[in-house]
Amino acid sequence: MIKWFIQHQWKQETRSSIWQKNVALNIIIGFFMLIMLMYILILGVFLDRILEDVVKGVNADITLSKIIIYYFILSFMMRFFLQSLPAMEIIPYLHLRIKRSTIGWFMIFKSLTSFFNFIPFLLFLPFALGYMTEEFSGLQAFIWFISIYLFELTINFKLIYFKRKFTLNPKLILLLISIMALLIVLDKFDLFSISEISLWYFSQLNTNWLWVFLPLLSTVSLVFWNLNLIRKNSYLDDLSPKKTEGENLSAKLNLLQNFGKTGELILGEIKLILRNKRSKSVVYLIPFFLLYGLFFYPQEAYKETPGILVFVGIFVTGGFLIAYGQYLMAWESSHFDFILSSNIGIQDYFKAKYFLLVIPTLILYFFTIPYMYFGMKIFWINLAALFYNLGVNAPLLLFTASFNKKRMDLSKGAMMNYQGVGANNFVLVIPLLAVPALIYWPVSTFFGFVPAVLTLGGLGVFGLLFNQSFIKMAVKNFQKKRYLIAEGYRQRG
Amino acid sequence: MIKVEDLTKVYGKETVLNIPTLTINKGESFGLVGNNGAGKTTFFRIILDLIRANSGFVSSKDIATAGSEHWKEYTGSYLDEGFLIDYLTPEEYFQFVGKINQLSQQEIDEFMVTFSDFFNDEILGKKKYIRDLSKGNQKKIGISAAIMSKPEILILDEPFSSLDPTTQFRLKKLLKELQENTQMTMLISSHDLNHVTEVCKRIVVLHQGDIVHDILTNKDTLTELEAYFAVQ
Repeated sequence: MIKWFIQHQWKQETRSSIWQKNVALNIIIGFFMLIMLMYILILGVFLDRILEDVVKGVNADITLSKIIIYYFILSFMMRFFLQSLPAMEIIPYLHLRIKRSTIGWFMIFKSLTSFFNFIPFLLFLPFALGYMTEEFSGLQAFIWFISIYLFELTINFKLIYFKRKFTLNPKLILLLISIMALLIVLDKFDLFSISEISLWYFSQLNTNWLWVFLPLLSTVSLVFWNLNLIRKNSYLDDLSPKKTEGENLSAKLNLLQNFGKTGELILGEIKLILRNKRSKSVVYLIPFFLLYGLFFYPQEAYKETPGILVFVGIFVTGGFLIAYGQYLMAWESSHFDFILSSNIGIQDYFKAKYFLLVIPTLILYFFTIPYMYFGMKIFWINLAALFYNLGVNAPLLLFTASFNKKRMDLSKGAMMNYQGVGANNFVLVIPLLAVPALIYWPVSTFFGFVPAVLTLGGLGVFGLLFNQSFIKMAVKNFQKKRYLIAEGYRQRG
Repeated sequence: MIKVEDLTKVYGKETVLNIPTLTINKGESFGLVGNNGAGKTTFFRIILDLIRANSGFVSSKDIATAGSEHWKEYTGSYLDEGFLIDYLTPEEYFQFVGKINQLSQQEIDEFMVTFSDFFNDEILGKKKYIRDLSKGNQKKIGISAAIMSKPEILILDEPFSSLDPTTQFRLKKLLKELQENTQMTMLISSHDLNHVTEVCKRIVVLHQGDIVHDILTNKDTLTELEAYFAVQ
């Protein structure tokens, strides 16, 4: 039976249109994955030296034992956003002569193939083989690694259990983040130190291998918890969606109805964003876009290369614009025939899309103003970048939306989900981010900071002044391509 | 009302639709029958400018539908689930369709009251998104939204399939009433010969893209059609 499942899974993967149609995209993704794995491996190989370098005079294993608990917490958080439930579409199997427990076991095993479960092999196995074998014994190193791996599996199964029980909602995310922040604060002020607990456990483990049973037991019990949950909840009414909760947000937005068809369309699209998994995860990404600047601004090296700051500025002020705008029309692919054939003027439709790009970008801009802290230069660059985003990038996205012909399935989460993504999506991001930097850079080199910022912002203002004509151009382009787009959106799978 | 001239649609080497000429008059109820692959949906999609014809054109009120938006103002249609916005509740969808067709709030509310029979208490007030409703109920929503703005032209693709028997009867009654009271031009495709002969005064049979029969419905039509499809 398991053989069948594996076969079906394999077919599902290989027959999904992404694999078959988009070799270029797969190569790009594969390449990035490889680079990421390489980084982790390199980090793993030099882990002992890095640790002893950062915390001087303390053995690497002590430091690692202390901070590894934070690694596990981080792993849980990352998985929370990135790891999807082993979603073998089990509905077609339920009525067949297959035991529920078989289905359950398969889903358990399937979760093991998650990327995160391989990280310990890259990050901690080199440490175990090198440092631990040298400082302790081969057996102790082995036990040490096994215990870490079992902890990772505990997290894996805990997360699956958690995700199956609770659906992703903002309150839960906020709760998780605040719990984590609380733990760090308590640790920092020595009120309640989880790193000491972590250290204590691993020192016990080094003297008595029986402590490996702790993660082993937790893993095994979580496996059975999960199995139980799957067995009990594999009924159609659990798998099919719940009733909608009282929707009060759309009531609040009712004033949009005063803006005629455009307002009506914007209202509809806000509902789209908030009620579908895929689009909702773009909203969840917004804080990350906004915080992106923190990677760059504190480092002096980046402040000196002006192109980088523009690049960051465009991204920080326009993250939502780019993430959402890339799929401008594809979001509505499932009812695109309706859009085309009902009494919506295409001009109105594009106008609504334009507002949907511009208004959130304006609102989000206010959250980037505190970056002023890192210097007024950054403030002015970001302001210019905002205008550039509104005046140039937004109309550009309206225009390029007509090149996207892939139907998008909104019911699946967005992270690492490449359904409905075409190679052109990757190609498109480059001009959006790079062109402003390329405009800014020579001007600032030859004429200085102020003319460069003015050029960038000026282009944006120019675009804003002529936005009506740009919308018309986008509509014209769309009219030429509409049949192909509609045809593409009708293709499922 | 609707004129078709030299219309062809080709996929690869296969001609899936070939209509040299066809006129549908105002107030006519036009039934389209044919087996799978006969070209019914393709024809409707071309009328609605959702796909491009390889040659020829369809005009509505003497304006070619392709590239024009004028016909949208007086045409209601429902072909498949691709016409539903599945993350809205039925009420929100009606609200949306009503507003884009410039109905007043009062008219929208009146519509929901007059259609409450048709919905049979399964659509309104359920607090469910359209995507969570059954196929039959989704179809009811699509059909009623198409009728909602009292369009001059109504285009429905297989409206009777997947509806429950009661709703099938109600739909037939509704369509007949609309013909009598409003002069609505109707284009309806169906696999169910019984229903379509009952509702439509003119029946056109498509076979692999060609019109093979074009008859005004009389008491023998059903038997004729049954005889035709039994041989096929």
